[in-house]
Amino acid sequence: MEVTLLVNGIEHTIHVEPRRLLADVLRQDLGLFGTHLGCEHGVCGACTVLVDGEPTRSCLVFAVQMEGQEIETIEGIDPDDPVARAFKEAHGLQCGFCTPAFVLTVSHLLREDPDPDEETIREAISGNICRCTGYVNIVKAVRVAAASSAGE
Amino acid sequence: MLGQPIRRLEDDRLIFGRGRYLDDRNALGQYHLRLERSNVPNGRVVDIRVGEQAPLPRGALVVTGKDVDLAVHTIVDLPMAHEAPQPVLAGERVRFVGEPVVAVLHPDPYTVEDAAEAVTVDIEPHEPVTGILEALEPGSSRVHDDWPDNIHVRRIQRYGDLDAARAEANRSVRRVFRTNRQAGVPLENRGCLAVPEPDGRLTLWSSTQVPHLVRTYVAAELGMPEHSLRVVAPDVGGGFGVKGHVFGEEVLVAWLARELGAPVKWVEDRREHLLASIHGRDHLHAVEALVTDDGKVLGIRVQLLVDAGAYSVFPWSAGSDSGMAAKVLLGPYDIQHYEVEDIAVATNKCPLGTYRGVGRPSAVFTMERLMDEIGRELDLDPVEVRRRNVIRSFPYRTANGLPLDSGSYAESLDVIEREVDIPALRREQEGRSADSRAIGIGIALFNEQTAHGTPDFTPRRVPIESGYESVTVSMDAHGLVSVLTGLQSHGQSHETTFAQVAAHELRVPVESVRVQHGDTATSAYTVGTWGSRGAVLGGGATARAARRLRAKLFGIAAHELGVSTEDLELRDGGVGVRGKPDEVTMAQLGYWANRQVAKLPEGMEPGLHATVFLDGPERGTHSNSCHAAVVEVDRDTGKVRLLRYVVVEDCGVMINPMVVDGQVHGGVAQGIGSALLEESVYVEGGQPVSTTFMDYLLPSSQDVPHIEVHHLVTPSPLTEYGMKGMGEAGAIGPMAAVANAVADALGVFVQETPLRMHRVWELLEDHPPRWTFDRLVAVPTLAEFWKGDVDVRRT
Amino acid sequence: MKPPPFRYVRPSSVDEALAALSEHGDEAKVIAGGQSLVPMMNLRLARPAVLVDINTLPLDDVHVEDDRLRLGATVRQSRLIADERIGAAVPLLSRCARFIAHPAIRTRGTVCGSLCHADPTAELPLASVLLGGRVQLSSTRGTREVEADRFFVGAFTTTVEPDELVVGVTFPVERDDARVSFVEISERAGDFALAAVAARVTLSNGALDDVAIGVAGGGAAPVRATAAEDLLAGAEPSAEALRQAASVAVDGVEPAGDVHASAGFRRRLLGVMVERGLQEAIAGAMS
Repeated sequence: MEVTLLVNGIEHTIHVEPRRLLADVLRQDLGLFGTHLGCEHGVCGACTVLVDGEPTRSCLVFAVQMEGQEIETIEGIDPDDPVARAFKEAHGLQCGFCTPAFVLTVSHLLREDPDPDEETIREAISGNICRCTGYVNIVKAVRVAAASSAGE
Repeated sequence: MLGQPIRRLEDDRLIFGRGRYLDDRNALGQYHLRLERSNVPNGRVVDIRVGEQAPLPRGALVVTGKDVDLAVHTIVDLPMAHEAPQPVLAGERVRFVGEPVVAVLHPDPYTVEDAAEAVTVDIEPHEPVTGILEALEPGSSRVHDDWPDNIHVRRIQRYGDLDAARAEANRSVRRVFRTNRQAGVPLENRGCLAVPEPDGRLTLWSSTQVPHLVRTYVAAELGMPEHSLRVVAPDVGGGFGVKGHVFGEEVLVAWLARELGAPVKWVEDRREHLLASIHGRDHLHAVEALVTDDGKVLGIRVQLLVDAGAYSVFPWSAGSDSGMAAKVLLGPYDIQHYEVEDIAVATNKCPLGTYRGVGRPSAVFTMERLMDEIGRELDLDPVEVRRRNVIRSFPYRTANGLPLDSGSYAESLDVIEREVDIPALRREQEGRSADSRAIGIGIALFNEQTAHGTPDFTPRRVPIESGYESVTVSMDAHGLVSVLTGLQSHGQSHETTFAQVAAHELRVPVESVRVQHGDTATSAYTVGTWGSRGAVLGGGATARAARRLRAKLFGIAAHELGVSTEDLELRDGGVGVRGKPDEVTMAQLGYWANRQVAKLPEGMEPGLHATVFLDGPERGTHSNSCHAAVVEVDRDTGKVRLLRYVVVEDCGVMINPMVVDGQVHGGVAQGIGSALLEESVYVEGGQPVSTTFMDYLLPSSQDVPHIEVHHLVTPSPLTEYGMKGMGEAGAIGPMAAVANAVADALGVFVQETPLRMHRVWELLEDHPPRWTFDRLVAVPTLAEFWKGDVDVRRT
Repeated sequence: MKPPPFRYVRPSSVDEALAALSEHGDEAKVIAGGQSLVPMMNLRLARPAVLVDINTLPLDDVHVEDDRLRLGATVRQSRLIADERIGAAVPLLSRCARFIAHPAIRTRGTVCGSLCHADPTAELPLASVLLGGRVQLSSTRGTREVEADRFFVGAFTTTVEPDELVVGVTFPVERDDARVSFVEISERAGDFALAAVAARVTLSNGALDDVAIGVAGGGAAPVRATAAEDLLAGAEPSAEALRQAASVAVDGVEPAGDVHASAGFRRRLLGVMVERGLQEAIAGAMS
């Protein structure tokens, strides 16, 4: 099937089987390897991308379903993005495998709620698993990002 | 630079999705490999047919055990050990659900799964061995038909004089403890890609912690010279010891690539990982402490059983968990009389491997639960009972000969008491006695043997024979420093910490130091990243290699500036004469050493290149921690909530405290998973049921509280800078701390982990403990250890 | 874990969708949010030959008509929290939505999809049974409505025929004086519940007037705890009365045990949830 995907502002028209998951198409067909696969059944959240601005598990949608929708992956994040900078500042990553998904999820959180408290943060990121950091510095990164955006 | 919490050099590429993990790599013309695995725990492969359930897609290839006669063979050179090689594809026998039976290949990763469905495997089931005690019963079915029993290895060790201790003691405290089986679950699954090179060599990409070990084993098994095989670990999304093994899949992928003359790629899926990578924990300990009425433990007798599964993992062997637990159980306590039997039991389950902490978390669970039980019997509070037993002066030689170099055991208890207002907690407990929500506090005090040197490995007689690491430090013609090592980093921040060490020793900007790791082509031999040794030995070797470079740089500078090397000092980006402006830059020195060698002093070799092989201290160096968990238990539902988690950590001198804290946080989160959530369950008949993340529960951001970390610094007298390892420490304490807290909250005896809701409910309902001394000594082969005892039935 | 092949149909009208379902019968499956279906397909536990994608059909309406709130088939679970009209009209829906999985799942998952999936412990089937929801089904043969308590016939089983499409669901607009609650217990937040309870109460002169209790996790489908409701009608909301009601509610259920929890433990949890659900609703009614 032919489908036109709008990814990070660029249109790609490709030919894929209907069963190809969005995650696999982003990675293997478009070479955007920043979106990772950790479970392929929608629990770990490592495959999270933004679809029309909303965090979406790309292992649970077929690429052919995404015609006409705006997809944003980690590759679309600005180099000076405050959330990305905050993750570095707060040591919010170790192996890095879950990190792109967290950056996108946190970006969305801060757009909805620019100054969330710890409970809100922990709830908002509860659908993303990290195995390395114990979440302590990820929560810190959200705080740092919120503060830096407030300061701007 | 040393001791600075600088931000990581590897972050920019990882944060922005430019890390490249195994599945991000593809080779032109590659085949995808899919493994059909046994769904029977024990049996004989009767027939394999293709095209019966579904047509085999065009372009698919099918390979069985008849086509390939390779195995992962962990030779244990001990008389009482049995051999348990695992074939890369099952031959006649399958021995656990998940064991690979058939290999299916296809160029497309989706179609290869269709192809796997076209394969039918008929297995004649045999009676499976599913229980750790059942496996030891005389009439039990056999995992390995040619073994006399179901024991991988068994050892007894006796130190001191336990009979004398018994005579002096006022009481014996006996308990049985169980830490149940679980999986390791790095977020990135395993995977490998073998690419045949045109000149006949082979490159094997693998998501591994041990590239050199993979290279040695795979080359040998395939009958190729090691120098024809290159193993590269790309970015690795977590390892935690799971990826510190050599797996049959790696051997198979390499073999297939050579046979086909085409690249072969295997990416594990999550189900496979939970079923068939390695499992961890799964210990059953029966312990007796001989105690005075003052609460002093005079002696310990303990029987350690580990369900090590069907095969012996490489290179650690099936006896790794039980052996380590036996070695370290006495922990930070002054106990000189010790008898221990450790038995690695074979069952029809996934092989048990080295998951973060290995045998230590279960050993600490037993010792720390025991300490609380002793305190309870003698009406001593948890801190006090430990105070009466800790080692206070160093160096200290344990009953079984471990030299504890330095430590702050008693001091760490002081810090816990300072940070956690225990009296206030006790008052709150009293106030809540009628409340449906009980609170409790639990402590775990422990030490951790890290950075083991070769003498620690030699007596194990397994294919890990040495404990050295190697690092190469070089400077190029522009004065830029490179650090090359086989010590692969999968979250440990080596790209930053080793750069910090080099920058510290050479006074160059840390951002200019490039660390390359995990590639056998660009590193000398190392055993790999595991066992809490990276900073100590990798960092230590980096320091020594950098110092060699510094000596040479001084020699060149002295020659150029016409002074003696004693008059020189390092300056930012160069070397100068003390008290004078005369200096030369690193860029100049690098250029002369590599290019304009006429500038070198007479007789000096060109180049700036130093490789150091650094062995660990003989029996390693011991760090120590104290964990305190404050929990709230809902008496109506059995739900445990962590209110607070406090860690006191002493790992000596730290290269980067921010990195150390991160390792503690992550380890504690995994430990909380072990304590409350994670379990690999096998039901009646030997079927594993924890096969997806719906059943295997990982701690999320709402399950892990904020973790408070406090540091003590007691340098090691044995290592560079006084560093001690600590990568596993976070994961070692929580099972004990949380279980102690739950026991404290409910006033019940807690025996098992994980404390899932249904287990807590059983405690609330006064269900008797599942495991008892009676059950163990009813097994004849286990009763022998406890023989000669009058009162064996007292549990 | 990649899914098996299927034919993908994206109808551009409801009629086209119905025609496709009529043509393919039980070989076809409707995909809306896919948050339950796709994991099963990736695990190769579900293998529909045809997938009919309704996401782009005009079925995302939310409106109140004839004292009932109507939600179209593709209304996302996240909307239950975000759309204030829903919270105002039927508060229980936005209450229970917060317990559904995680935000990313709710972004795509649909209300009607959850009803069709019919997980015995899911939040929306339970809420529907408590509220008296009515599911609207269409096929080439016509349309019909099924009351929630007849819609769920067993675990993961509903009365939807293979050629039918759920086009929407309606709920009665809540009474002003009614107070609702939703409680559930699971090993971790967001996990499948071991037991869940929805409750609605009205108070009159300090006594319980109207009481509705729905329980999930006690069997194959969520049910009303009618014996407990009868016991409490007209009663003072004392702690003892609630405890008795919980006990009666548990007597009326037969939960199945598994590795996560035995049948006995599930009963215990259900009883606790009934008590807590009632306490929460009553507290809401009193404030």
